[in-house]
Amino acid sequence: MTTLNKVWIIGESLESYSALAAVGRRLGGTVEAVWIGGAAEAQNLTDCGADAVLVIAKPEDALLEDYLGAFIDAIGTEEPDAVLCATSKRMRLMAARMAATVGTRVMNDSTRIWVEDGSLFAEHMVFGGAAFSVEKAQMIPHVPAVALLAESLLVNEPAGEGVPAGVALSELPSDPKASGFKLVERKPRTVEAVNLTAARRVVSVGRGIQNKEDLAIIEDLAAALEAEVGCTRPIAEGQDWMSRERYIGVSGVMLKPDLFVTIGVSGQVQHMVGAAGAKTIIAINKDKNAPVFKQVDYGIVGDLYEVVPKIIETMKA
Amino acid sequence: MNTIACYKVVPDAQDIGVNSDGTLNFDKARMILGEYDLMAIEAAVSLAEATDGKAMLLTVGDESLNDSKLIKAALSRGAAELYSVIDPALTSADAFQTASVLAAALDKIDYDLVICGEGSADLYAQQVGTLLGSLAGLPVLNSVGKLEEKEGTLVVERVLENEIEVLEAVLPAVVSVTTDINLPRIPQMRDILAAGKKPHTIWSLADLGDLPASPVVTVSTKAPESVERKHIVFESDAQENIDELVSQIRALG
Repeated sequence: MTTLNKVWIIGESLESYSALAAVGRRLGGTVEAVWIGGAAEAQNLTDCGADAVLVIAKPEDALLEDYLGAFIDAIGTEEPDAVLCATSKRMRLMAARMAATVGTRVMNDSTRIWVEDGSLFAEHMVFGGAAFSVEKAQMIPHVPAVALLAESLLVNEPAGEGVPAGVALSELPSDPKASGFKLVERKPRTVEAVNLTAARRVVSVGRGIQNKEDLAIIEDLAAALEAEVGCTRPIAEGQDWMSRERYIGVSGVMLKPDLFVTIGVSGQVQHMVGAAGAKTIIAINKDKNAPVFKQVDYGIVGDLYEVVPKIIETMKA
Repeated sequence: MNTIACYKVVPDAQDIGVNSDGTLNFDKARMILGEYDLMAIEAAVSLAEATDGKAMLLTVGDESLNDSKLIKAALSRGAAELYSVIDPALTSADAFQTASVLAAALDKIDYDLVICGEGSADLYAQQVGTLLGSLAGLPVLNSVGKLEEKEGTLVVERVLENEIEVLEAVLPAVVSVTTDINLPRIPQMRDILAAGKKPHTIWSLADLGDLPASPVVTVSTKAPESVERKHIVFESDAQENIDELVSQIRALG
């Protein structure tokens, strides 16, 4: 058996479903999209590439967590072989709650996923990027495999061909079950919109930068290269000089850009693993013994405060 | 409010080597408290302090937990006592097994709130807290960035991608906290000395019940194969080197 029988896909946003469905089609004979929310929204999923759309009706303001019970009950009655989830904070909770209920664990942050000899396999990063583990879900009756798919897997999944369109929508039972948490209020959170995973070129800055103000020259370089700006963890979490959305490291951000330029980055595995898939890596660091130089295509040993302006000037010339 | 923080003892990532076949070598790796569990401990201690409650610690693993330095490292951070489940069968327990053992241990402790870190520092599967809450049949929430008692009710802030949810919790409950919920305290010498005198209860699996099998097994753990790189490093920033670099960048298209 090279595919599973029935695969369910679920995400928090409608946008995540076509990539989820493409992965689902690769793994399963039948793909069913489950949507927890409004039936009107679910109409947007009839062309996502799944064979059917199942809706658990949830009022707009209600907590998704209060409807996880209905979803978990539906797993029991509909018996999918695997549930594939797009990764988000809510989906992490949801995946682990359903896994615990059926008696398994989540195949988390899957950067690769495939079926072999009838079992589901997934790969994910461990030990801060020092290694990847391959996990195998033994297909046990009534214990569906539960996998969270990493953003990098979803954005790189080729779109399926000849996928079903205009499929039927049906409703699953949707009785709320109290999660034990009562919503008091929702506050908007202003985060920078940055998508490093989709960027073709990324400039990443590390501790070699001395002041927050000096990030301006990094931004200038990124502009000259038409690149997005990322950083190492200390720049985002220790110094708070850049937003957490920009740090590349154990958070699991896996990049596959054409060009990855590191500036003042020592080259710790936790950071570099995030860019291991880059076609070309360039490093600028004043320490010629920095580990980063062992992992590059091109490097310049020099003070970033001199090298970076020179590169910008030369790019403009 | 009586709180329990869970922590995991992990090999220090800095000291993990790679064998010639790509498997990892832990020979030089000393064991430390999980980096992200320190925030769980701090959150449990500060909430207990603010509510005149008691903070406790709970950990599961093998004999490596029974190291006096590690015990002091944990207890010097303000909690009153430690519960450890120590058993050779737990050496490579996965998230499901760990959560199952934690859930069994919770049955023996009196508490209002269990706090876990965002993820373990080694496997970072970010699910033990949620599995634990679900297996224990308790309300459970992840990504909690603030915990506060208001008029006898626990109010939490949950940091999601684009919004913050403010929620009231029904206790007892289990939450996982974010890595930036707090800045963990640095234990002072007197804290470390006092830690050695705090109660430490040790259970084995025989005290708690059998270890369940996990339907998901780890097939292999290997360092990624290194990508062939050109390794052209210019030892100065002379203009000709910059020119060469820029022409290589332009050649990428």
